[in-house]
Amino acid sequence: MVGVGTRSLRPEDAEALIRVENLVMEFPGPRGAVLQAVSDVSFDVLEGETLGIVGESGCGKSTTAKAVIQMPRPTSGSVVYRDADLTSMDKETLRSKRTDLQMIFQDPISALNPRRSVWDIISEGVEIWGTHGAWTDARLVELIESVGIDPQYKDRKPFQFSGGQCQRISIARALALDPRVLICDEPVSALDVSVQAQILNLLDDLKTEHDLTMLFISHDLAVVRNVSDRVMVMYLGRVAEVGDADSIFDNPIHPYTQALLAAIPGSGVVDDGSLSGELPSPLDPPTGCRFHTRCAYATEVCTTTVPEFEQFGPDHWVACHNPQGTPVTL
Amino acid sequence: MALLEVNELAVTFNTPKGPVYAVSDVSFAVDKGQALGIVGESGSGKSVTVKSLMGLLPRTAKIDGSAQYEDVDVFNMSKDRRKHFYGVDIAMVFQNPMTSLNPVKRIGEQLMEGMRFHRGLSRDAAKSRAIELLDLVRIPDPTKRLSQYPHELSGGMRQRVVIAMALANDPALLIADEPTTALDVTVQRDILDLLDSLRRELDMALILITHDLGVVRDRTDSIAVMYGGRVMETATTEEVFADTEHPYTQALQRAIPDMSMPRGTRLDPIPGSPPDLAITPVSCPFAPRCTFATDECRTSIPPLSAVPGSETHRYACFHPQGLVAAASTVGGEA
Repeated sequence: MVGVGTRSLRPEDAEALIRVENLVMEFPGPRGAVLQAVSDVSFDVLEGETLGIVGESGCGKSTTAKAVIQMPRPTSGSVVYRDADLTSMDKETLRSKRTDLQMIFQDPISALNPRRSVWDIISEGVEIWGTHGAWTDARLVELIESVGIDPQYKDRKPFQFSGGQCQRISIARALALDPRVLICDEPVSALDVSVQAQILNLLDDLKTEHDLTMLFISHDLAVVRNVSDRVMVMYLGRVAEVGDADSIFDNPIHPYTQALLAAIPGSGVVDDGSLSGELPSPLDPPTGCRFHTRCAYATEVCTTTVPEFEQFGPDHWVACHNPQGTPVTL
Repeated sequence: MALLEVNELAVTFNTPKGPVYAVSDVSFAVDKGQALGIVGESGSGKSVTVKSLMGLLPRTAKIDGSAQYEDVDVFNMSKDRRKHFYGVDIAMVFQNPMTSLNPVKRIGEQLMEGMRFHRGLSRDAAKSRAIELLDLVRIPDPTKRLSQYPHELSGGMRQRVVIAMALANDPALLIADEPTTALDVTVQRDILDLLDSLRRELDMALILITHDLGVVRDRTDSIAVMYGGRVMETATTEEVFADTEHPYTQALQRAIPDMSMPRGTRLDPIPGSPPDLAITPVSCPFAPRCTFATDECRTSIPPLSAVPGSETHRYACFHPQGLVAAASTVGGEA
């Protein structure tokens, strides 16, 4: 599998908390076809960093995040958490490691068991992993309070709470195990606008309080800009552009990133109309650069050769044959 | 004259736990060829308002007030008029295109059904009209699409088909209820642009329902902001953004992250949760979450007041925050 390469990875001595290399996720498709959900993606996340992953639906952003916690195990590639490769770990060791990597999901109501009380939902992990942290009932009550739920409602069931409150409960459940990494898959997309800001501020507070490292997946670029230190833009299973969030949002280089930003009212990025076409099928992705079928700048080489990462700033990497900027050598 | 005029609309649902006041005292008008944006969060009553106009509410709903569409009294029309009212005079596009389309019927059949029923077109005439419609909503290769099933199309293409179906009988008013919420950002813009240009091309009025003020900003002539089943503020789009009077409209604008904000900017959330509509409305629905609320707001319902000097700008608040407040301060000093 030819990919865009690993040049965007920070040097080994940067001590990445998560280091994903050449990740491939394939699923069996109809009639023997192979669905190429993620094709050779490499990235790293340093301790305390928030990496935002953006892209249209079907670009592989959720699959990539789920591959980090080995749900399901990737087809190939490595996922190194601290010094351990999760992909080659046996089931039991992986299970105990996963307490460090917790996830919150898009639909907070379906993420909670409707038949169990808030207390049961939040304390279950602690009961199973009892010795993992020094959790006592009193600390769990504190945790429930810290996410903005009144502990006197701890015996209520999820349906007695609003969507925003259910998302707070999911966050408390994830934090009960003292994770190092929080993976947020579209955590505010299903919430009302007035509640979105509450949850984003809460995540920001808890990140500082619990020293969390975050993977933040969203299709809403304004939300990603608000929370991310670094951003990774994905298109059809590959990385198009990755690097420092400000550098990418202020100076997008890849035609796809530019088109994505142009779609937002008030972004200031001018649209060249390149995104008018349809997203090709991951069952039969285009050859060369996968974006060439919809790109306004595509040339012959784009149809045949996969572009490799080039550097456009201290921390700004772009995989494109016709980048809308000048590469730098640092 | 207004094409559609809604007056003091109230919708109450009788539930086993007692009445739920979904919509109270809502009035608005849409002129021919104009676009109205109804903005609100879930529970604001925006969808119930238009569903009442479309006759789509369950029997448990009690509708009060009036809706006049040209010479038709929408809530009291005859069965025969009704049969050729929806889909002909007013048509609607829903949020999720997959549930609006029949998954086991070809696109062509679904498109032709309405025209054949309402206009008695022959199969051939309906077919050429269907091709024309798919072309109108910018679907490439329309002839081929007629024999395809909904699952063969992408989300954006499906929503275009749904729009084409709604346009089949040249409605004078199109209601679009969150038409792009289920779609990707890039596709969202395409669909909104399409609705906007179709409205101009066909001289059709449009009611665009959304939770996103940004969506209506460049695409509507006027806006009604709803909360807790009531209209909080209504004005021309220009007026709302130039001079926001209602604290809720202001809070809504501030709560949404913006691309121009530097990273890590603390957002200004609206505290608390949306209102419980099961309580008899005796106060401003926004009062429990409003920073400016006083006892007056908690004990009486603010009426819609006009902004001085404007015929279109109205707000329901005892403590307006825009130019009205500024003007009264200046007046006080003088």
